[in-house]
Amino acid sequence: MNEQTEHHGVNARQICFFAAFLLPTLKLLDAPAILAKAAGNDLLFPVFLQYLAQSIPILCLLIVKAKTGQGPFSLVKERFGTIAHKIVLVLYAAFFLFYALRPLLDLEKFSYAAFYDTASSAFVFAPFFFLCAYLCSKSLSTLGRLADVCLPIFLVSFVLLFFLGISSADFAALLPFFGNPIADSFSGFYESIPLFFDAALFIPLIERMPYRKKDGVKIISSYWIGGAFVLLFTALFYGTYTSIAQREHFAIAKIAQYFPALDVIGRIDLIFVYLLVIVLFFATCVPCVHCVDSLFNAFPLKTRVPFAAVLNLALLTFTFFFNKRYNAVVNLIKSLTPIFLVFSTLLPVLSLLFLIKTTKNKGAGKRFSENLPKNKEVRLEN
Amino acid sequence: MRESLTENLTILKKLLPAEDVLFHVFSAGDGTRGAVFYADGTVNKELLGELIIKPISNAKIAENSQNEGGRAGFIEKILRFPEIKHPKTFSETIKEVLDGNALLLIDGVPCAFIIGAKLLPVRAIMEPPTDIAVKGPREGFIEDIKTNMSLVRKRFKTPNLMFKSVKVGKQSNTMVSVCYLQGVSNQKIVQQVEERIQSISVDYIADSSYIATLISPRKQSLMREVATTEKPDIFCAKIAEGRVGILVDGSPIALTVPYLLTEDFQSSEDYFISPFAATTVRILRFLAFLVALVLPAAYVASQLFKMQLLPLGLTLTIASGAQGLPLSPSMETFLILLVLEILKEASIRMPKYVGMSLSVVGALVLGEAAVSAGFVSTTAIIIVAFSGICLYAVPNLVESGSVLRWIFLIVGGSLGIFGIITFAAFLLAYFVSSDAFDTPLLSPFSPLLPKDLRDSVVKYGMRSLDTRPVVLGSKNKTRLLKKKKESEK
Repeated sequence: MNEQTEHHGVNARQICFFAAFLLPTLKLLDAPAILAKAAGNDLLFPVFLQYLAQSIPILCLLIVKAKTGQGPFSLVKERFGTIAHKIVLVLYAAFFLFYALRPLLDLEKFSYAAFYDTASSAFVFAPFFFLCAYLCSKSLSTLGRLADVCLPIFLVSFVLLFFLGISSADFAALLPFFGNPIADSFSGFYESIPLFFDAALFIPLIERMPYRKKDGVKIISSYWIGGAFVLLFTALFYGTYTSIAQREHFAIAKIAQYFPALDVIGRIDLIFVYLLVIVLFFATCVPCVHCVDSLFNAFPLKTRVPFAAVLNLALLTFTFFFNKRYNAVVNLIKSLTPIFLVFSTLLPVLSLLFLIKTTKNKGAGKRFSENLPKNKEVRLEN
Repeated sequence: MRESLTENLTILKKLLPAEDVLFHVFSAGDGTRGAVFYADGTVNKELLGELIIKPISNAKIAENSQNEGGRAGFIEKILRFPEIKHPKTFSETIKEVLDGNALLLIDGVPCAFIIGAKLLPVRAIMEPPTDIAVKGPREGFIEDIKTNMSLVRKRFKTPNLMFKSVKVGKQSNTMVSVCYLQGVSNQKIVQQVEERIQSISVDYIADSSYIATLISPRKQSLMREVATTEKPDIFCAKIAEGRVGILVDGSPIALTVPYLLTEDFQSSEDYFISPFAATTVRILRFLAFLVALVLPAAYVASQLFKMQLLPLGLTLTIASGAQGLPLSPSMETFLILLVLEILKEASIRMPKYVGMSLSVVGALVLGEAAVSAGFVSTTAIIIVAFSGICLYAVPNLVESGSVLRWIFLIVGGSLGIFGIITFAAFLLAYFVSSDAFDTPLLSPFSPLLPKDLRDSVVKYGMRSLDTRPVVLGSKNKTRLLKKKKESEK
């Protein structure tokens, strides 16, 4: 085996693509309507705040990686032994399982809205779990490679949808900035927290990546590029729907339908929506993949298939029984927000503590990346 | 071997009792008996008579052999043949005879002479029917491995070109030759290929596709894992890029590994026309393949689940055409596709003149009559026919494309566009995770290798393709040395 298959992780470029093109799709479904309801025309500010807030734990993870060459899971193993490592992995697996619920239900609701003219059976969403199970049964390198192919798919579909939608948008509706009480913006921030636990999704990826100089800057910049896409779409969304924006859930499917030429040539905008849905599918699978990955690392079996099968069967059962209880699930996840914050924000920030001890032990200032070859020599990885 | 000719012939005839294995006994000038042993129809008898039997018949072996280092030495000297081997055992001797060579035995000489006078029936080198080029070389491989090797050697006049041959097939003993450029091909891949070929234990190799299947790393795969070509120019271009080639005796189809999906969207002609034209054609092929897979499914799904996809005028036209049809859109398309596949299968196997009339019956009578009788709509026929034509824009993917089209139609008909998109995402994930011979199938798109993108969908000019594909892991990366500008000098 050569380095392409030997390495079961991801590289920095793939994490950059993941941050810039996969993650934003999860925020294009229900988030704009939620934000519009809470913050009105100031909805861009909470998005900005969310990205700012999530950048901190991601930055912490990257600093730890840069200084030690390890991620939090490996550091736990090194410091506290295998049992502690397994406990942490199982806890994170449980967290990722709960994390996956909201995007799954959002995707299911969106699918019914975007793909069917008439009410469809609850079973039609079931094939998604085959895809999810397949991805879960693969190593993280598959996720990394998918990030590579998502780059053109996302860019083409997002850019075309944006330009088709821009004709009917009135961006003046966003003015005046901070026209609403600032409390509304913070309320929007609070309401949308469950949709922005991004940092947690970076933990297993950063854990597996070989860190090289300036990778941290690239990843954070990419995360903000993703943020820019979300901000652009949110602005377009509010510019299009203005006062009724809060009622326009899953607006991505219809944001471009007002483009004048579509009356003549048909809803070709839907082709780009469907392309974007491919990326959305992969993004929705990410927490499930991480869940299986954590379990697989905690209890190494021959393959990931048993974990993937059980998890997806559980999720299929869940969506089948709870798709009519969407609000109850959303409220449940909202009530779990403090616990989610611990996993997605607090623990990554606390991983800096490892750094203090490591620096004392190994000598401060010495970057791990200095020992690694340059990017050029490992470009075939994954 | 024994000294006595009679004994040797008895043993050999016992080991090779088949009727087509013949021997001819003759006498030398001094009466010493000799014999040639061969499989009928595989040896050039004229050469055998002129260059082997005639000189021996005129020679006095017993008299001259003392001065010439024994009988064996004398015989070798008088034979006017360049390719002579001395097998040590009977089993080696038998293999050579069955391979088409002639065996010469002389009474009193405990040594066999294998004469390379093989003359197997081969067809002429001609343009392969599956890979026709408007511009560029027209030679094609044939079933004879030696001829195929010579066609490759003709293009690589370098000592770096290596052929490593092995016999595969317990009964067929088919010669399989691994071909690569020393210093250019990735040695790990060469080694992997050799090991996989050597580990094959099968009775009979009918064609190179047996080898392709048996060396493929995945037992079950939606896509092939070994590339094929019938053209020596394409084969050599791939070898020059750093791939490893495999030639199989009895097959005009050569194999190359590692295989990348983009290869099937490339044609040899792309390299003989302008890069802009080549890029346009490649994009067309990609689009045609996508249309071929998805169009029938999308047509059905849009009618059943999402009418908005079509413009109103078109929807009304389709609706008026479909009015009163007894079949649902999915059943209708399914049946037309079935007819298309059956017609295709039948017309390939039929003799040419029957095939033509079958096409007329299929296209005109069946199609026209089915519409007139109100079984199917014209739109559905157009959709399926166009999809069928589009699939042939990428001939190498016809088999797998055909299977995928069925799956797309089934998911599109039962789950709508959601099913199509889910299956498309699944395919993408499957391709992305498929590696064969340590090479990702979807490279250079995933993992992204920017340098290799220069010869993928977009085709850069020849001067820009100065390095070998990164994904092949060749040690010798440069294939075109750019001239330095005057100022740089």
